[in-house]
Amino acid sequence: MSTKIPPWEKVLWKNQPYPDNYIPEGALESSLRKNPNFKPYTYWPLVHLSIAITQHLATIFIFLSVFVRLKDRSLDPRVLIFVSLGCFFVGYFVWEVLQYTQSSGGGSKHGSKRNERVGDDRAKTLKSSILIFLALMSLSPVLRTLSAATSSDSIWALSACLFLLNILLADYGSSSSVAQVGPERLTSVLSMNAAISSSVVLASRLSSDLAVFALIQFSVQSFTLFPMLRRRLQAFNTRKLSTRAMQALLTFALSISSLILAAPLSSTIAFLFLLVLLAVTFFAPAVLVWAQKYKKWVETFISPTNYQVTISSFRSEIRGPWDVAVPKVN
Amino acid sequence: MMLLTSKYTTSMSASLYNPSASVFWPLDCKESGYAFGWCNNNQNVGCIVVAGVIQLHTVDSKLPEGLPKLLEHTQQHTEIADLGELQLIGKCTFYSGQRKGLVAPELEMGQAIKYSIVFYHRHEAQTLRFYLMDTFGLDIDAFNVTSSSTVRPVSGRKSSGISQDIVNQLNVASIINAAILETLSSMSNATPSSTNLGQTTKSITARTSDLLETAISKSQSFISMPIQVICNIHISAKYRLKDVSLSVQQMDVRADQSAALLRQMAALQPRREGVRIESYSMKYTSFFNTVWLILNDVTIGYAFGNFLCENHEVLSGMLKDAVENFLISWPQRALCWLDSWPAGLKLNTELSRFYSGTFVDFVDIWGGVLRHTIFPQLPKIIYIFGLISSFGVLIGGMGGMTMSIALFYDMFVVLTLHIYVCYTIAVLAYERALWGLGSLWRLFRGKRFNVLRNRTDSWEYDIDQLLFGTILFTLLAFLFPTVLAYYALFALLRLATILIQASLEIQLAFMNHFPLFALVLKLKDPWRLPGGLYFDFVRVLVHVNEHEAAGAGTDEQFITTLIPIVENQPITLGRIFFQYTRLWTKLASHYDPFRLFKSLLLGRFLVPIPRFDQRDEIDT
Repeated sequence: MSTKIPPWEKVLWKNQPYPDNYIPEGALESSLRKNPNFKPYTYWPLVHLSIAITQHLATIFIFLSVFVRLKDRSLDPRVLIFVSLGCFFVGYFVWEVLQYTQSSGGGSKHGSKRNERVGDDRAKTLKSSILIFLALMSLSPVLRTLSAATSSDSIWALSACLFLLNILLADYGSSSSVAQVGPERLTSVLSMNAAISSSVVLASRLSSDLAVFALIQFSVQSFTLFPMLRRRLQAFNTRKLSTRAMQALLTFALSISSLILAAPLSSTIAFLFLLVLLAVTFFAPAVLVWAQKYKKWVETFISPTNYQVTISSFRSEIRGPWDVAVPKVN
Repeated sequence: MMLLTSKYTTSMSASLYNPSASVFWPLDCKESGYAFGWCNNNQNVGCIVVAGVIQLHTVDSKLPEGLPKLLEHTQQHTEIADLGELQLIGKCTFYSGQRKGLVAPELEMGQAIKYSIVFYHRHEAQTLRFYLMDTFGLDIDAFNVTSSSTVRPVSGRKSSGISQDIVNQLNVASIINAAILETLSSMSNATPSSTNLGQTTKSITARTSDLLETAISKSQSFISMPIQVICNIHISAKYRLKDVSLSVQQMDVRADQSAALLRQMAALQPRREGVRIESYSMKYTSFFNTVWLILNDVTIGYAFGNFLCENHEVLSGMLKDAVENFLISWPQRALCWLDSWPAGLKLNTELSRFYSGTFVDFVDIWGGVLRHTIFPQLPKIIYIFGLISSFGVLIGGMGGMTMSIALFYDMFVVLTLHIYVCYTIAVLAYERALWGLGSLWRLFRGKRFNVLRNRTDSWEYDIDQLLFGTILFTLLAFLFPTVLAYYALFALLRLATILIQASLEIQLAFMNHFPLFALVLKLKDPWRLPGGLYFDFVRVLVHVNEHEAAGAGTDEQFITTLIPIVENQPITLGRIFFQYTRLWTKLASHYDPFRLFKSLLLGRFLVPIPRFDQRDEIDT
C-alpha cells in the first residue's frame, strides 16, 4: 500500500479507515492515572504541622503550673494579673501588626469598607474585654465558694476530664485564607468552653477572691485569645523560612517556659511534660509516616467523614476516562 | 276521611319484596270496633299506629259518618296536631274462640294492603312510662333542665319503618284513647263532664302544700338571690369570689338548686294538655332527685353537726396537736436536716444555709400567726361549723354535710397556706435554674434554640457571650443540686396537700350531684327510664279462613304464630353515670401520676383541678 494510513484520532466526525471499535495500542495504560491525589506524608512537614499541638499543650502546662503556685500561695495574684495584662497587650499588638501587613500586602480593593470593619472590630474587642473584666470581678466571690463541699479529688478528676476534652476537640488548623478579614470565628466552641469550665472548677479551690480573679483571667487569655493569635500566625505565609523559624522559636519558648515553671514544683512532672512535648512533636509524626502503608487497613475501621484529612486508599486507586469529571476550582 | 268497606284477605306473610304496612296494635285492646289512629307513610312502607278502638255497641248508626268529625274535634282540643292527622283506619274484628291466649285482630282497611301486626304496650299517662328511640337525656343537674332539653332527634331511620314520630304516637295513644272515649260517653250520655285532660294526669304539687312552695320562693328571693350575687363578685380580673373559696361555691350551688326547684315546681303543675311526656318525666326525675339529695344532705349534716357540737373541745385539741406536729415542726426539722448534708449529699453551704434559714423563719412566722389568731378560737369555730351543718338549712337551704365539707376544706387551705407560699418560692427558683441550665448547656455546645423552627441549630456566639455563658453554666451546675433538694421537699408537701384537697372535692361533688333517683327508679320501674327499643316475640292465635287452614294442613280455626312486640329497653348504668365517667376521666387525666411526675420534674406549678372545669363537666 502506497498511501499511509493516517493515525487514528479520537473524533467521530471524520471518516477514518479504521473500524468503529478500534483501540490503539497503549491507549488504556496512558489514560489511567494511578492515585492522582495521593501525596504521601513526609516527616518534616508533619513536624511543622504538629507544632500547633505542641504549643497548645505547652499553654496548658503553663496554666497548670501557675495554678499550683497560686494555690500554694507562692505566686502573688497581683503579679499574675500584671503579667497577663502585659501579655494581652503584646498579643494585641502582634495581631494588629499581622492585620496591617496582610491587609496592605493583599491589595486594598475595598479600602474604606475594610477600614470600617477593622474599626468595628476594635470597638467590639474593647467592649468585650471590658465586659469580661467587670463580670469576672463581680463573680469571683461566688466562684470561690462554689465547690467548697466537694473533696479535692473529684475536682482534680473533673478538671482533668475537661482539659482532655479541650485537647481532643481543639482546632489545630490555621485560618482558612488570607482574604478572610472578617470577625474571627471560633471553630471549636466546645473545647474552649471545656477549658474555661475546667479553670472555673480549679479556681474554686483557691483561697482569696483576687486569686480567683487572676486565675480565670489568665485562663481566658490563654485558652480563648491565644489560640486565635496562634492560628493567625500559622496562616501567615508558611513558605518562607523566616516565618517557619519564628514558629519554631515560639514553640520552643513556650515549652521551655512551661518546663521552667514546672521544675521547682516537682521534677517528675517536669520530666513528664518534657516527654509529652517531645513525643507529640517528634515521635508522633514518625509513627504516622510509618503507619501510612497500613492506611487502608486503618481506613476500614474508621469512618472518614469526621476527619479533615480524607483518607484515600493507598496504591489502589485508579482513575480513568470512565470517571466522573472532577472540576478544578481555582 | 274515607271509609271503604271492601273486604280483602289478610296475609300474614310479609316478605321483603312485598312491602306491607306495619300496624302497631295496643296490647291491651281486645274489642272489636272501629279502629282509629295515625297513618304514616315512611317512604313507601306504611306504618299505621292504632291508638284505640271505638266499640261497635257504643256507636249508633249515624256515627260512622260523624266519627271523622269527632276525631277532628278531639284533635283540635289537644295540642298534638304535630303528630299527624288522626284518622279512622278501618274496622277490626277479634275472633274470640274457645282458646285462651293472645288473639291477633283482623283488620279491614281501605285499600287492599297487606299488613303485619306489631304489638305495643299502651301505658296510661299517670304511670309516666313511655318509649324512647334513643337514650333518655338524663340531666340530673338542677341547673340546666330547660324545655328544649328533650330527646334528641334520630336521623336516618325513616326507612326502617319505625321512627321518632311513630314512637311519639305510641306514647300519646293512651291519652287520645281516653279523650275519645270520654267525648263519646259525654256525647252519648249527655252528662256534663269536663274534658279537661288535666284530670287524667298526676299533678304532684297539688298534693304538696302550697306552704312549702311559698316558703321556698320567699327564701329564694330574700336569701338565695343576694347570696348568689355576692358569690359572683369578681375579685380580680379572672377570679370570682366563688373560685377562691369552696364554701362560697357551695352556697352558690345550693342557691342555684333552690332556684331550679322553684322553676321545676311551676313546670310540674297541673299538666297542660299535650305536653310531651318525655320532658315531663325528665323534669319529674330531676326535681325529685334534687329534693332527695338535699334531704339526704340535711339529714347527714344534722348528725354530723351534732357530733361536732358535742365534741368540739376534744376535736379542737386534736386538731391543734396535729397542726403543730405535722404542719409546723415537721417541716422545720426537715429543713434543718437538709441543711446538714442529708444522706451524704453535699449541698452548697451558703445557698443551703440561705434557703433553710428563710424557710424555717417563714414557717415559724406562720405558726405564730396561727397560734395567736385561730387556735384560741378553735373550739368556738368548730362549734359554729356544727351549728351550720345541723341548722343551716333554715337559712335559705345553705347547710348540711356538703357545707361542712366545704368549710373544712377552706380551713385546710388556710392552715397549709405557708406550704403554698414556700412551694411557690421553691418552684420559681427551680424552674429558673432548670431553664437557665438548659439554655446554657446549648451555649456550651455552640448551639441555639431556634424559636421560628422550634429546633436546636448551631450558632456562632460572640466571644464574650461564650465566656460569660460558660462561667454561668459552671456556676449553675454546681448550685443546681441544692435548689433541687429544697424544691423536692416542698413539691412533695404540696403534692400531699393537693391530693387531700382533691379527695375532699370529689366527696363534695358526689354529695351534690348523684343520680340517686334514677338508680332507684331503675330498680323499681325500669319502664320509666327508657333507653331504646327492642322487639320481642309473643305467641299469638290467628284466625284463618277455611281454605288457608286446609292449605296449612289443619282444620282448626286458629293457628299460632309469632308476632313481634315492642318492648322498652331500660337505660344502662353507664348512661346514668355518664357524667361521672366524664368527670372521672377528666380527674384522672389531671391527676395522672405520670403527668404529675413530669410536672414535678419540669418545675411546673401544681394546682388542684380548676373549679370551673369541674363544674363544666357536670353541667354539660
